Amino acid sequence: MKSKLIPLIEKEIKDLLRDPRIYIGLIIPIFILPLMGSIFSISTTQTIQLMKEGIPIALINYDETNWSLDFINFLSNSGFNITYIDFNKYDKMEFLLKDIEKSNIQALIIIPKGYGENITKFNKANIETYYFIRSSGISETSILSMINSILKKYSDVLSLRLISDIASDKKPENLKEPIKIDSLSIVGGKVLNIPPETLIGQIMMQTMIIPLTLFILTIVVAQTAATATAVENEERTLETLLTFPVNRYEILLAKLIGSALIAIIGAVLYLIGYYVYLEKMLTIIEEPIMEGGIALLSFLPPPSIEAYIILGINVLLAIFFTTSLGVVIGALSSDVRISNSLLGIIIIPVMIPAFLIMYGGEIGNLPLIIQIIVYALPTSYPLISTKKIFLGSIPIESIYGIPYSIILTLIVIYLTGKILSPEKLLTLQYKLKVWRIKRKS
Amino acid sequence: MYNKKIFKGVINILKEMSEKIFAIEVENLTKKFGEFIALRNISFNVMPNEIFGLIGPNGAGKTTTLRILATLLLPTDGIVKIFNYDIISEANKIREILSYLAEDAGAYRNLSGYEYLKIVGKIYFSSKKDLEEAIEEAIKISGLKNRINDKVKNYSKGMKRRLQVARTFMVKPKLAILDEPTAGLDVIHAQYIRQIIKDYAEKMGITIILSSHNMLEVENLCSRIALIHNGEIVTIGNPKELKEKFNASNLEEVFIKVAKIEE
Repeated sequence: MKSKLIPLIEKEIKDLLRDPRIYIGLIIPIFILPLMGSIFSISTTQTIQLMKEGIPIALINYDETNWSLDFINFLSNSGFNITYIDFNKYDKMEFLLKDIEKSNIQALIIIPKGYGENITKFNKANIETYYFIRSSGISETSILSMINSILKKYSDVLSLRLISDIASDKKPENLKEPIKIDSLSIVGGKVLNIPPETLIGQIMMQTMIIPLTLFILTIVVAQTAATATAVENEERTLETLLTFPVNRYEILLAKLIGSALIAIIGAVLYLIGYYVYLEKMLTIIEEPIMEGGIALLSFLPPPSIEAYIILGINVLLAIFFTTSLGVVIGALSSDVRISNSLLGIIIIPVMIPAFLIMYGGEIGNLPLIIQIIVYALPTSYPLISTKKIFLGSIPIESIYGIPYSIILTLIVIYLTGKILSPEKLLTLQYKLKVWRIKRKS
Repeated sequence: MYNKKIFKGVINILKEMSEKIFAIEVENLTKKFGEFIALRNISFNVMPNEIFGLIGPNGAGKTTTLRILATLLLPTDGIVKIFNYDIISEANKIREILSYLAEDAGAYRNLSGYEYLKIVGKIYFSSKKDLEEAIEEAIKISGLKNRINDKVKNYSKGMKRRLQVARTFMVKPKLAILDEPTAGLDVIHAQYIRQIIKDYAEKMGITIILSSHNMLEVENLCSRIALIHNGEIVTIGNPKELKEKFNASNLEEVFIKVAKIEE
């Protein structure tokens, strides 16, 4: 029997690429990521603009000492646009707050009576601040945290001044902070002059995107493969196909190749989306008012070519594994509805270990049973690689995972080929239906 | 030595004869699905170039029989041969000479009718000339004309069925297995498909086995029929002979009388 693979692949690709449902999964990342980047960019630009114009705040001063005037002066010089409130106009605090809420004022600061006296006596002086939270947008939250940090800065400035008044012969900075902590990080044998918390934050941010890409990709691919196969059952095309002079494994391989192609297209589109997202984020970070940011990543040692190759193989095998699973699920489902619900039951547990790798600590510290599950799934290896490769090392388990993933995927393909006969499929589909009915009742 | 040669010659002649005599040979076929017995010990033969009909009500065992003949299901017991190839050990060879039309068979929704026929053609024909000829023939059979370039999802039920019938005959099979070829179609589409089946059986010398619960359709199309009821063949014969035998005006009456005798 000569190979009939090419017309079968042609059929798979044409049928899949023309299915509008698949584009929803593929197109979402390329729209959502730049959109997220744009929203972030617009919000941050608005915040910067507002800071330049002066953040509107309201102020009630019951103190009227030089200390409180000094504080107000500091606020004015820090770019606040202050509205002074005459509290006598209001019977109750509640009415005042209601009035302010209607305006664009972001916070109300109250300097109570005795504020200056407390400072003079070296007692703790109190300042009341009401923040008006009108939304949870990026712009709103960054303005509120900006107000808070300026207030804290004044407390620092005041503290230095008071120290210098008491001990004029000493450097106030040294008394306020007697120990200077220099934080250095060692990554992949290189010493970096960056505090570890900043570095870890950056690595987390960067490495989170790749697992997320993988999640979406594997789910889209598994769903594509499952739907394509379930539709064959629904439309009875598989029944016809199985009477053609075609090898069963050629039918399966054509399906896997078709779905893998969709995965590659999906990956490329996702990366384009991610690139645009980063571009937008980097533009904001260039603004002088912000500090640090993604630019710090340039301090990290770049991963080696070998590391990229291993990561690439891990990703490919993970996609192939989930595609095979998708085909099995689709083959067992007599229609698309059953296939979708089965996919949810199977794919989510496959993804849980991935979350553990992403957010958990070292795999070696996890309970043994979880470690076994993590290493048993080919979807874990791209994540293990991603996490370590950014820190400059190639994890040995990712290398061992390659032959393991190949063998496991081949077993899944072999078993799928075995069940790809109506004799077995009809029996399995029937059993599955009975199981679902029992489960529901 | 001389006797051996004669013996071999006789064997070969007998072999060729048997190939010519039976397109389908079914002997004591039983099919069970767990506890359920779908077919009980059925036997029948189909001659080459014959149009043979399996008739009976829904759930009688028609589709199961056709699925076994199409190499989709395995017999639980009994012998099934297609042009002398064994259905179990020589399924691959059988798949090269048969064409199967499942009940309600669909095509790939996002392909055009033309693309679908071309892909199927590529599986069966290696020469470009044969492929082009087969596609041309299939377009003619389908009667879809310019609509052949439309996507299958835009076809009516009748158009989809015509495309499937075209696909079945375009591969020039020795045996065509048609499960309810006109089920759910309006009179015009059903008549069109019946005519195609008749024409192509004659023109291309194809053996056809079809199932239907429409007994009048079978009466007009088939040279012989088998009546199936509860997984058993209750009678086999020429429609005219059966009507005479049971003193009935049509096959429906024959079936009702036979079913009552059985009960």
